[in-house]
Order: sequence, then C-alpha cells, then structure tokens
Amino acid sequence: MIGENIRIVDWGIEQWNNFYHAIFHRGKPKTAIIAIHADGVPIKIIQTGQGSRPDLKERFKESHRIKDVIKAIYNEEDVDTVYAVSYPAIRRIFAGFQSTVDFDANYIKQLFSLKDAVSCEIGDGICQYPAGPQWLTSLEYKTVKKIFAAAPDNTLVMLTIFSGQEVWTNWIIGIEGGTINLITTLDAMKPRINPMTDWRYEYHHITDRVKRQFGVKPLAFFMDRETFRDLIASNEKMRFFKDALSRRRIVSKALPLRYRILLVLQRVLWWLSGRKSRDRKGGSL
Amino acid sequence: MALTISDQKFHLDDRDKLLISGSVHYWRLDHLRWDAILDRVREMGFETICTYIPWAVHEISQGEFDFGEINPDYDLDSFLTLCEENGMYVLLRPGPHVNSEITYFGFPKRILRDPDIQSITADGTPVVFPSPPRMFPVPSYASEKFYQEVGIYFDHVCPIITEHLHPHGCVIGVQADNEMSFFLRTQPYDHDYSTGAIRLYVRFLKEKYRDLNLLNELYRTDYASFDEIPPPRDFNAENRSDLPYYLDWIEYKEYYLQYGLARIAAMLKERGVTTLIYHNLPGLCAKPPYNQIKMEEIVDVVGFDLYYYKEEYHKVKRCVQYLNGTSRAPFIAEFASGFVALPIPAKPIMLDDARFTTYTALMHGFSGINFYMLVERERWVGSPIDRSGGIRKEQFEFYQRFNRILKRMNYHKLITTYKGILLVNRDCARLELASSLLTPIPILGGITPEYYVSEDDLGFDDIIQLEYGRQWDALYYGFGAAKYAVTLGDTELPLERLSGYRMVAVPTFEFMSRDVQKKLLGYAKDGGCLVIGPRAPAFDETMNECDILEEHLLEPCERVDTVTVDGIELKDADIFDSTDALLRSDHGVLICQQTIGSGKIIQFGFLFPRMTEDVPAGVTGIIDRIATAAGLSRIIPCIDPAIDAAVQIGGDRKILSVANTGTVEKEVDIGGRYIDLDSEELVGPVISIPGYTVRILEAA
Repeated sequence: MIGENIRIVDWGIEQWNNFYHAIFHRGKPKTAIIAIHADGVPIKIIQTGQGSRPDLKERFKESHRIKDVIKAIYNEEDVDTVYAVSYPAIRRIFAGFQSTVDFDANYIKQLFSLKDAVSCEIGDGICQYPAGPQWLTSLEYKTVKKIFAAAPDNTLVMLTIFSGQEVWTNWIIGIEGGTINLITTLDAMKPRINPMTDWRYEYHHITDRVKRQFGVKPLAFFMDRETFRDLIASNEKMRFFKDALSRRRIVSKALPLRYRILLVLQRVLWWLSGRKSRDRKGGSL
Repeated sequence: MALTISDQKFHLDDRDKLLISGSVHYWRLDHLRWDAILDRVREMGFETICTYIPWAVHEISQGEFDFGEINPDYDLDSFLTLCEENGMYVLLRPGPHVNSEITYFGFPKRILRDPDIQSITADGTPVVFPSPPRMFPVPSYASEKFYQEVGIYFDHVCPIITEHLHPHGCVIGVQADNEMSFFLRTQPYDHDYSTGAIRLYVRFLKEKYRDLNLLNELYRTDYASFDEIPPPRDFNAENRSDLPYYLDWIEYKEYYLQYGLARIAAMLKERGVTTLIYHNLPGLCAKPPYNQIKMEEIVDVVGFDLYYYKEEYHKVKRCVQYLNGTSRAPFIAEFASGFVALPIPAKPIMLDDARFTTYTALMHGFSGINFYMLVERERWVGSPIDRSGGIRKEQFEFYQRFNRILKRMNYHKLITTYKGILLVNRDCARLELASSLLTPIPILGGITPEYYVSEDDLGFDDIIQLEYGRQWDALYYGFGAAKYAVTLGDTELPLERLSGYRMVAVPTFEFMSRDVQKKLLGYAKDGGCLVIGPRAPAFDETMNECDILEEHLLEPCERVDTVTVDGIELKDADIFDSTDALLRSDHGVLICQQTIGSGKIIQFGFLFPRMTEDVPAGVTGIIDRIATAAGLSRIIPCIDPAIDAAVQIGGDRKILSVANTGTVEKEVDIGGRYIDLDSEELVGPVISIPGYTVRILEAA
C-alpha cells in the first residue's frame, strides 16, 4: 500500500529514466480502433495515430452483433485491438467509480474502485477483440492486500540493476505496517558509493551503506540489465524470479531464513532435475 | 513601485526587468540550508526566486497556523527576510490551490471532505482527482464556503506577504491561485454542477441576456425565470439552431474560471497584497474553457506552464507564440527544470529535453520565465541544486550558461518580430468543445479534438468541429514551414492589437460572432490583409443570418469534391470567378484577393488535408502565394519543415534563431553571414545544425 504522506526523495533522474524505459516504454506502441456507439449505432470511430475513421461506420449497419462487427474490423484492419464502447457506459463507469471510491482508503484500494467500475462494463458496455487478459478482471483487492501483508515489516526493500559495473537503476523502498512510506535511490547516499570492479562480489558494500544511512539492513536484490529485461519480458514473473534467485542470476542479501531454506531446497531440486534431464538425453556418462 | 508591465515587458523601479526566476520551496528544505541554497541559486545567475505557500502545510488545525512558531522550516517571514538580505526578489504563490506535488494539492484534507465545498459531476457524484498517493474530491470554485475558508487562511498569510512587498521587501509579484482549470478535467459536461455552480450559471445567463425573452427566443423555450434553465449535461444538438444553448454553456465554463480567479485575486488585494498579481494556466491553453485574454482583464498577467520533451517543439512554440500574440507580457510561469517524482508511468523530462525546449522558448520570445524547480526536493528530481545545497554539475552549468547568453544577447531589449498573426477562432473552438463525446474522460496528452468531437454536420456544409482544428493546423504548420514570421492570437483580441500586424489569418466557417466579423472587416478596411477561408461566415453566434464579412467576399460559382494542386488534394473546393487570382486549378480560381478600404481580403474556399509538422512542399507552395500576396517575406530561404526560424530586433541589433526540430544534423541556408553568439564565429550563409538544437546568431 502507499502511504498518504509517502516520502519520495533523491531519485536519480537518470536511474528513473532507465527504469521507466525498461518498464513502460518497450517496443512498438499498441494500435487500436475504438468505436463509440449508442445502442449499436456508431457515434464515432477513431484509430490511434490516425484520428477519425468515419468510413468504418458502414460496418455497423451490416450486423446487429457488435462482437461480430469488431471481429470483422480486426480481421480487415492492421491494428492490435478493436474496442466497441457504449457511450452511456463511459458515464456509468465514472459515476460508479466516483460515487464508491473511498477517500480514506489507500491508493491501491482507490485504483481497485476504478478497476471494479470498468470490469462491470466489460462484455457489454466495453467489447474488445481479441479479448484482453482475464487476470486483471479477476484480480481482487484482497489478493493484493495479502501480498503487501506478506512483505517483511518495518524494513527496506532494495532493487539494484547493473549495467556492466555501473548502477543502472536502484530503488530503495521503505515499508512500515504493510505501507510504503519511502521511495528513494542510492542518490540519497552522501558521500556517493564508489564504483565497483565486480558487483557480484562487492554488492554488500551497497547494503552496508544503506544500513548505515537508514539504520535498517535492506532486503536487497541485485541483477544485471539482461536479467531484468528477461524478468520483465517473462510471462511467469514469479517463477522466473525464483529460478533466477536459485541460479544466482539474481543475487539477494538479507533474505529471511525461510526464503533462504526454500532457495537452497530449490537449488538442490534443480540440480537433481538437471542431472536427470542430462541422463535422459543420453549424455556421455 | 511593484513590478509593472508596458510594451509587453516587465519593469521594476522604472527599469526594464527580464523576469528570470526559479522555484525554491522553503518549507521542504532544512532552514539551516536556506542560505547556502540561495547562494547556489545566485551563482547560476538568478536574482529572483519563486515559491508556493501551501495552505495545508501551514494549517495545524482549523484556524490555527504554523508559520515557523513550531517548525522552523515553515518560517516564511524568515525565509523572505533571508532573500532580502541576499538581495533577491521573490514571486509568491499562496494558492489556495498549489498542486506542488503535495498530497491533496495543498488543500487541507478537511476542506476537501466538506460536501458544501466539493465540485459535483453531471451525474451528481464528487469529482475525483486521481493523483497518487491519494485520490481526492476537488473543490468547487463556486462554493461560498470555500471562499470563507480561503479567507481565514489568507487572513493569516497575507500579513506576512504585505510586510515583504517591494520596495520595502523582496516580493515583486503574487500569483492568485494556480492552474485554474477544473483540475484539468475540462470536458464540458463533466463538472461543476454543484448548487453554487448552477447559481453561477444562472448569474452568467442573466448578465448575458438581461431579458429572459431574448433567451427564450434564441433557445426556442418558454422559461418563466432564469432559475428554471437547466444546465446541459450532454451534447444533444441536432441542428445549428440548437447550438446557442451549448455555446453559452462553454462560454459559461470560461466565465466560471474567470469568476474563481477574480474572487481569489480580490481577496488578496482586500488584504493589502497590492502588487503585480498574476496567474498561470496549464500548458497550451489557447482554447475554451480557457480565455487568457479575459483573464488578463482580471489580473495583471496570465502565463502558461510548460513541461515538454524535446520532441514537442511545436507545443513550446505554440505556447510562447500565443502568449506573444495575446498577453500583456509573455510570461512562462513554470518551465520544466527536472521532473515530478511520483510513482506514475510518465517519462521524465531530462536535461537533454530542457537544452532544446529552453532555447525554443527563448527564440520565440518571452518577457519572463520561471524554472520549476531550481532546487530539488521531495517528489521532484533532476534540478540543478539538490536539497542539501549540492549542485548537479551539468544542470547547474546549463542554467549558468543560459543566463550568460541572455545577458550577451541583451535579451530584455529585444522584440520578437512577427509580421502576421494566425488567430484561434473562438467560436469554432467553443463548438469543438461543446460537441465533445469524451465527457467525462479528462483529455490526456496527445488526444486532439479530432478524437472526441461529434461528427454530425449540424446543418452546416462542413463538420465544423472536426474540420476547424485541421484547417488551423494546416495554416500553422504551413506558415512555419515556409518560414514566415507569423505568431498566434485569438479572435478575442481587440482591433488595436490586430492592427499591428500586416496579415491576420483565421480559419472561418459558416458562423462567426457578429462582433468578430465587424472587427475583422474593420482590420481589413484600415489597411490590413485579412486571410480567411475555407468558408464565408453567413451566420452569427446566435445562428441568425449575418453577412458582415460575406457581403465583401466573392460568392463561389462552383464546388468541386477534390482538386489536386502540386500533389496536394484539396477537398470540397469552392471555385471563384475572380480576376485577381493567387491560385488557379483546371477548374478555376481557388484563392483570390480583393481590395477593401485601404486593405484587402485573401479568400480561399477549400479544405487542406490533415497536417502534421511534416509539411509537404505543395502546401508550402500554397502558403507561399498567400504570404507573398499579404506582403510578408521569408525569414530564411530554407523551406525544410524540420527547420524553424525567428527574428528578434533591439535597436540596430538583429538576432536570428534557427532551430533544427528533427533528430538528424542538417545543413541550413540562412541567407547571409551571422556571428554565432555561442562560439562567436562568423558563419553562413549555409550552417550546420545538429538535431534538437537552436543556434542563436547575430547579423554581422
């Protein structure tokens, strides 16, 4: 969860720029055609990057099923997604969200109010072809709350990604009672941390400095850009993360004991399964 | 004497004052560091700083305030005294809205939670501002209770401000509120429908019509009183006679913002803040619900806040040019220096962006600019000074150099020379907003009206609300690509101001306010060159017939679906029977001119294709014919649309700025020999300009 008066300080702008591009600014932007309609009668059809597409209104005359129309448009136009949005649904979404959002709630819960208002309209008020991922629709606030509650309390979580031996991006997040109250970076360190010759062996210098500065030893994760890129691209991020930890593509510091035991077990299992698979492939042994 | 304005320049103590400042938020910094931080600011060459005074930070509980009594970092009086001891000037921004990336935008939480203060949507809900770390309900600027509460806060802060007003103190200007913009939710049928706002709507209608019968006749209604008139909650117009009701609503939205600004400014003045009062609008606010010109009837100056990336050259240019064309003094109240640090998916504005956009602003001419922020602090990164007073070398040196160049240019003596002006047609812009189908979704970056306006023709020949923006863009990009010194303005401008230009261009359609038609006709008769098209206005703003301009224009003899000229497809082209043709096709005359009084009107009757900055040569050719006939001459010979140029003159000095708005280095013909003000070398007539770079040259 995000604290009401969260302190966001000393973000290295280069670090943030790197992080932003890694997370949000990847690949070609998705293209879409969006048809706004009232009871199936198209009011306006637009295409991202091109503006109005009144020529597509004709399609709606030929069929009563909106789902068929958007599928047909998708098949004939070179776009990633086609949406049909009922104009009254737009207002219902906003009215629903604004009348139910809890101003005392944390930001994540507030976002879920919006998500719930949108989810109510998916299928009728908002049709999409191809269909979007279901996980977002079915994701519930209580699930996210559980994840935050599972985070170690009163601690710092630190993520450091290296490009060569340089810190490419670093994030230090302070959590108290399941609430994020601090987001900062290594720019908060005065004097600055010296350059490293091999971060895989010297990363503990960073955690030591962070502990000295904040008085808390951070739960720290270190990796290189390539690993981070693969993590972001992975469809099964949790599994990737666990595997990368066990294979030391991701290096961690101050991991709680139970996680460390799990990692050791996983490493043993991986070693065993690796041997088996090598044996199955008929290796020289 | 406070800061004053004349001839589009600021003056202090009867001397020209180029208002170059930067933001420093005292309450977010350790007061023990203030002195060192101000030293760093001065080392960069700044002698003016700017700070918000956030209500929520200083209010401990209702009616109780801490201005340093408890937390020394909040000691506004000491901070201002320190500025005075350092010989610095200060611009103050006491709100009540400050944004400032604070949770709740500087409003005490109790204020936002008060139902009597909240703005209300067309569907009767509070209006949610979705910024992290907390969404919050926005206040209504039509709520009397809101102003009562603001009054209590002002009662406590204004005595500190007045103690420090220039000439006794350092405060040379005070900003009334901040980015008055319906909290960026400007779609027409979104909000505010609170009781106070509906009362204000009735007041607006009463002031406008006075006689209810006039309104009933126009709306084709039979209301027994103004109070019965329901505000529109959606765009349901089917033909042009339905439009006045909706156009009035958009005019009211402008009025609402003016009302809020007037109330806050008056409250400051009533409490002794008798200095230059200014306001800032968020970004390019040339269209409704903003009305920069009307707002400058309320406060001394209204500037824009600019946060743009290097790829957004034309947004910076449009903002600065519009201010040049409309404002008393073109003032950029906030200009990006660093970027907001909040967990939102927004690309940070980097020094690389600032390097180009700052000089873009400079080349198009400003009288004042405030860099936001000079000193980094919580929720802000990338500034030249960090929050402990250390410097970020590259950024620090950039602003040092920028201030040196301003001095070398003698920038405060320069005037950006524009021979022509392209006007925002406020009537069409109001229709554009009125017909929005995107309500209540706030407009996001990159979404133009083309994405959300209704596509009904409403009984006109063209879908005005769709075509207006396209035609305006074609003229804007066309004049720029052809390198004519054409600035931007608004049909709201008075005739005296238009008369200063050799050419006035405005996209016109079938309706235009009677007063604007008279003004444009007067401009042409008095010796100006009026460029209008694609249609002659035949109706006024009430949709009654009005031929003030039309009777002086040629009636088309034919309309052709498509005409191709130099590879450019011109749609729905009117053909004129004229002997004074500027452009002909196989079908006949496409652009003609005729004398009127001591001036002339250039008339075109076709729709340009949708245009971006990549202007095709065919369009440049068409614009060239219009501009040449209007008596304009090119700034430089180069017609590469990625290159832009502007000229500033001061005494016998002529400064030419040339921008490469693209990514790759270009060889540019600038038509003569100049001294490069950076390298001090003699260059030209062909110079090399790297991508995203402005070169500043002085005529040799």
